[in-house]
Amino acid sequence: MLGWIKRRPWTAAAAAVVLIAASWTGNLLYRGTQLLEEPYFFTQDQLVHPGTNQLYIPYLENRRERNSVLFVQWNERPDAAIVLQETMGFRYQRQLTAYASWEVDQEAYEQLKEPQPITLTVHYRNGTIKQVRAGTLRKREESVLGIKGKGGGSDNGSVNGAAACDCTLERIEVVPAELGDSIRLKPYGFGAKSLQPPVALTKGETIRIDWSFAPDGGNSLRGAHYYEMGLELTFRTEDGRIIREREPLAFPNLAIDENDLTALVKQLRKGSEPHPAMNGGSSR
Amino acid sequence: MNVSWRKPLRRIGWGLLLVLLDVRIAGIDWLPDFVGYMMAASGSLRLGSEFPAMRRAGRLAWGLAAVSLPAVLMPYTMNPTEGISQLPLPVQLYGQLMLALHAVLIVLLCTGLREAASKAKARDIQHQAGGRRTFYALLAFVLLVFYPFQFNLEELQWWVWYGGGVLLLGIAELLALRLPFRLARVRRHRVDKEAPTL
Repeated sequence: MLGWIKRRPWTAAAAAVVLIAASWTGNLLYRGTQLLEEPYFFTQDQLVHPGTNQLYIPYLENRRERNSVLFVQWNERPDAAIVLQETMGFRYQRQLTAYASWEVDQEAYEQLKEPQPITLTVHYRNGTIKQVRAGTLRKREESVLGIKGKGGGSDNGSVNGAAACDCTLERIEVVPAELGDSIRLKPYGFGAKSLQPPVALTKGETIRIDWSFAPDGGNSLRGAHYYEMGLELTFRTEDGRIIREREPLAFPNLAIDENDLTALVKQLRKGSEPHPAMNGGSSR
Repeated sequence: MNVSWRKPLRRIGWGLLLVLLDVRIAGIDWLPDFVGYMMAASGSLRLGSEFPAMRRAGRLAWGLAAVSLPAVLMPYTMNPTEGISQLPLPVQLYGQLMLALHAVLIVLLCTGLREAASKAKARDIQHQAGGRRTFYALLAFVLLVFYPFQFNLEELQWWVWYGGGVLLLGIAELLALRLPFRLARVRRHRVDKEAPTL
């Protein structure tokens, strides 16, 4: 090899230049395939209660984004100041959160018509403005299962609580329903015994639901719904009422799992929305 | 060895050493590279009449002196949390172009030193100039090919490999820079060795 280089120094130099240029071209082209075409806002259900409420709207933008998000206004609550803060950096993107804190008094809470959409006016650095749907405001429902504790990370966790009255737990479902196959549930009753709904619960009886992501469970769909994922528990009370309770799985400002992020970006770049009805992409 | 070679050889060595050193205060390089390149160019062109590789190196060093002028004021304000990939692309391309041209200059100088050592019958320096030239050229080539992988590799992983390569390249360059100083001392050594026999 060295002998060949010594015999043909100019050919070797030309080959070196070609290889260096190929390295630049290949790396930049590959990087280009991993970037979002525009910042992506996740949707989520925001539960409202009387008192101080906090709103977290996570979004993604490319790390070398020239046309990054400059500031955001919340259309329904223009008085609530929104702060943008970085949550986590990934290889190609960074995750930020649009955060606001606002007060809801009892009267406003009672007058709230739910579900109320959350829409944002997003101002970009290059001066463009876009309207983005970022989720829904819901009132915190009457609670049959008093939540005692929640924990976990970006791909598994557990929820535990105690029944507030005598009732029957009829169903445990994953919401949105399309994510049913991508999240595995293991419910446990008193004494860590495996539990299979429908099951009768007496007041004060505790249950625990462990959840984990299925390894092949549609990462792009899951990525798009990361902050909407939750459990819907259906209870039948002694007087025959059916009560459905939703409990979110991910924390509102939790950093998205990188595998789900990669799959989501790939799906968005293909042009097919991961979930047209719920997607938080920009409206133009 | 021709005595008239000494000054130009030392000027080449000191010039390139100046290029290696970077003293930045308030964003300005107080040991600007173009001064070092001008010294190397002046030294190389003085030897260029005897050695064609030195003539080519001298011309390239003048070119590098011109191209490196903007670097004096180029702010190195890279945010460590954002990483090198966040530097503007033209700045990165400029840095890589400078590295590539500098590597060619070192290769040409080593070739010229090899010719000069051959003429001065300094066989050890002649062999070392060839070996160090090959080592430096291969290392610089690998670094130039590897640099764009920073766009796709994990930042820390890339830094470990690239940082290691840069360190090796620095050592290779210092080894190459010893050669003009050693060649400049050849005659004096001989004189020193011959002195007791006289």
